[in-house]
Amino acid sequence: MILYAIAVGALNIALCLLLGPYFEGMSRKYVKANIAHSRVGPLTGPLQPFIDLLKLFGKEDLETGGFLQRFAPILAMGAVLMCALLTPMGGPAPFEFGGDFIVLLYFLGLISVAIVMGSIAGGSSYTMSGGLREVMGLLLIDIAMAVAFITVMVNTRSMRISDWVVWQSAAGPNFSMVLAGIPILLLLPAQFGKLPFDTPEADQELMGGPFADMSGRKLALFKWALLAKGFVVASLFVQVFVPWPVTPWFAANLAIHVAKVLVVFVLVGVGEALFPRLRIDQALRYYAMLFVIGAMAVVLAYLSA
Amino acid sequence: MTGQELIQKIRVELDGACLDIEEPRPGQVYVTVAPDRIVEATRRIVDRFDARFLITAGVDSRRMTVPMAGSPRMGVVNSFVASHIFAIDPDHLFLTLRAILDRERPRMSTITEIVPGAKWAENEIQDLVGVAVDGHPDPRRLVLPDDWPDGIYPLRKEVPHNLRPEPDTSKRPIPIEPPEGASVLPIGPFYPVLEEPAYFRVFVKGETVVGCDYRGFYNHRGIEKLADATLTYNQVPFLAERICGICGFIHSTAYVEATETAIGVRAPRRARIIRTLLLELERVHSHLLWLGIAGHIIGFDTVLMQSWRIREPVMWLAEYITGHRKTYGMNIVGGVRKDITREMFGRILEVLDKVEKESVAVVRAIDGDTSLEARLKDVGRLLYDDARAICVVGPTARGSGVAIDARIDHPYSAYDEIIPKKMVHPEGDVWARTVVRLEELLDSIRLIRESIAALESAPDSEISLHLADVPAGCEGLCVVEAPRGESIHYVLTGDDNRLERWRVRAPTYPNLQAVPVMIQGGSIADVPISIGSYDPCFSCTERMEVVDIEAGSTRVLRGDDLLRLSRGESAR
Repeated sequence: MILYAIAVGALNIALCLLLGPYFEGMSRKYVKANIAHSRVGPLTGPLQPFIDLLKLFGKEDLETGGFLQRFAPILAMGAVLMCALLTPMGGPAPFEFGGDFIVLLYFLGLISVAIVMGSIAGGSSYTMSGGLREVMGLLLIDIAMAVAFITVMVNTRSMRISDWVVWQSAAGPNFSMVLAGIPILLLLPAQFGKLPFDTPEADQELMGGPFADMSGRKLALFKWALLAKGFVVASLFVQVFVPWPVTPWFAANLAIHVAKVLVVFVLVGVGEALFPRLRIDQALRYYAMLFVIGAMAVVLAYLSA
Repeated sequence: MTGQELIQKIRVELDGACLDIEEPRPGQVYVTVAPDRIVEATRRIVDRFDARFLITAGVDSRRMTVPMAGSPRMGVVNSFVASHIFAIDPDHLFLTLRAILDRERPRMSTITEIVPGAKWAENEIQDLVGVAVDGHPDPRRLVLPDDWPDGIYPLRKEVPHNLRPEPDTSKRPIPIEPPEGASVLPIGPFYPVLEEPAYFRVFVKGETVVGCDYRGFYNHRGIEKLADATLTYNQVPFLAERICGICGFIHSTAYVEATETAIGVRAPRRARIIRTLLLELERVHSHLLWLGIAGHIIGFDTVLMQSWRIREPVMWLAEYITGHRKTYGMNIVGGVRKDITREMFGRILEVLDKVEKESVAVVRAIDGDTSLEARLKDVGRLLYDDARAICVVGPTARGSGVAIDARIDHPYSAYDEIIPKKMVHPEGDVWARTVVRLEELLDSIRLIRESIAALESAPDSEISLHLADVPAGCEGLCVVEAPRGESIHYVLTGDDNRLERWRVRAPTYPNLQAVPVMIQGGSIADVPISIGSYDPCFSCTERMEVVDIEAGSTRVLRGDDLLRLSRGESAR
């Protein structure tokens, strides 16, 4: 059991850290550059995010914010890795226990907290405004997501993610599950920190917002953490809402899972290419609308239960 | 109303205040009043004729030896002259109201109470010519650097064009304090979205903008001084073309046509049609360029990449016609340097067809895009009254319902026969400005086709005049409609076969002054697109200087050095 946890834990972490940037690179090269922009894009193809990260790791690291600023990216990366250990990716998650979803939610929130921490440490008006926007988003995005997941809990009468996966692949989907899946799917670009919801970073308005004062290793670690986070939230969505087909072989399940996550990355890339950045008030209204849809799903699940 | 009728009416209106009045060139009326009557005269002209302020030209004519053509009765002026230039658009007239100021202590009163848009023009005459403006609402420096020593006025004739005075390090910029409870969000001094030097200090409460302060002119290059100090008439067009990296041909056309007006000649019809064709070609690529940047500002890079892809063949076409993709080098006083021959028509039309087809597709896509509307509608609002008061120009004016277009109101080149449509939308928001520019993009393609048809029917003739020496003391004015608004060039010829004064006003000059109104009450997210919506063109740098403080030596990095360095940087 412990051996399984260690092996799958290592596998999950490797998937997030390697495929997160790689899929981002694929979406950037093939969806954004080649299709949407009619341009060649990075010559190194999907490997470009790794090259960017490597380059950032080697750059001079300017210190503007003391301990808090140094700690924030480490906290973010730590939180993402914890999420990776709690999320099933093809097989059962390395750590699973009753109520593990609450812990996962906590760690997802901690990533945003790390971003806010880094922006407060930066202390310029750009990082402050970016941090403020991140807080506003955190309140609505995570709550809207949690509400939609309550539907799943009501349906499955469990707070254990592996139970959800089993229930959905065997008994689902019912109407309330489909309805709950919509806000989760539509919140994914915001979870990825991608356009049209990259309001906290908003390069053209806030020059990178929370990350405006970061450079070198700190920035690289943050960027890597966020790319890995994309893989985690995509995995969560794919496992809980579209777990099919389930095969008896671990390797096949894993391959299918990875392919589905890639589709999510592609969808997020398409959204990025099709929409301009929303203003923070418009983004908040959008999250609020998804919150309402999630709440409707919960009511529906109660009524039909 | 003709120029002569205007003269009659002004004589009545200004009564005894009018010292001299003349129409030396058709449609260009010059009125001279005493310095203490200039405010009163401005009020009457604005009230009575609905005159629109263009710019103020300050001239140091203390060393001039001939009278100005616009004021022959005043004799040789021998002093400073301040000219407020107005346009009376419905009657296709320019009206210059001027006063001859004191030779030792030039002063005049501000007209900003009547024309708020004259604020910067008066700052500028104060900074550069040293005319003290009494009652100015914001007398801080505008054009000169903050550490420029007092008492040196670059446009005075005794100041050499290459003077580099010791900086007065005791002086500091004077910022405006933000209102109570607001914090400052600095945008600049290097404006990061457009990668140009401009410094907005935006005052915000949370996400809401409550005010702003602007400091710019970091790259004022002294082009006017350089021209009237060192260049001959036919060298200036090539300098004029380098005022702007986008509407270069517009500036060179404005200069040569102003000079032609001053001399009293007109370029041959064929040359004027060629100018029109190139002007419209420049409009097409500029509109597409702006559209891309506007998309980029709101994070919509798909629009940026696609509109710039569509734009590229236009640049190749310009290279095919003139030999250069951007800085054409076609204009000289009295005509153009290269003909557009019959063999070129086919390729031009072919490119136009492709660009039109793709532009129409982009316009249709933008037209129905609700997420774009959400970002652009009711954003950066500038209402009609403010637009008139600040005297904004181009799509910024037409997007606020001010129906002005120099191509129609004050025809130049061949716009008397190739007639554009005036695109006016009253909403005054970023969306309206976008729609105006998209409509003009398609209209420009039509105008290029008409220019080609006109060239086909025009007989092969000379494309430039042979000009003798240019007489001194002649004045000319030309307003050319750039894609982003009017470029105004005022020319006063000198007696050493060189310009006495060349006054250039680019369209961003008035439009930039409207920014505080546009962003007031909006959110931070709307600031970049509001500023971007009028297509600002702060300035361009062509080289960089490295100063080694310890060794005290300087090294100039040129284009290829920068290229090598940046390639090295990205290869790391």
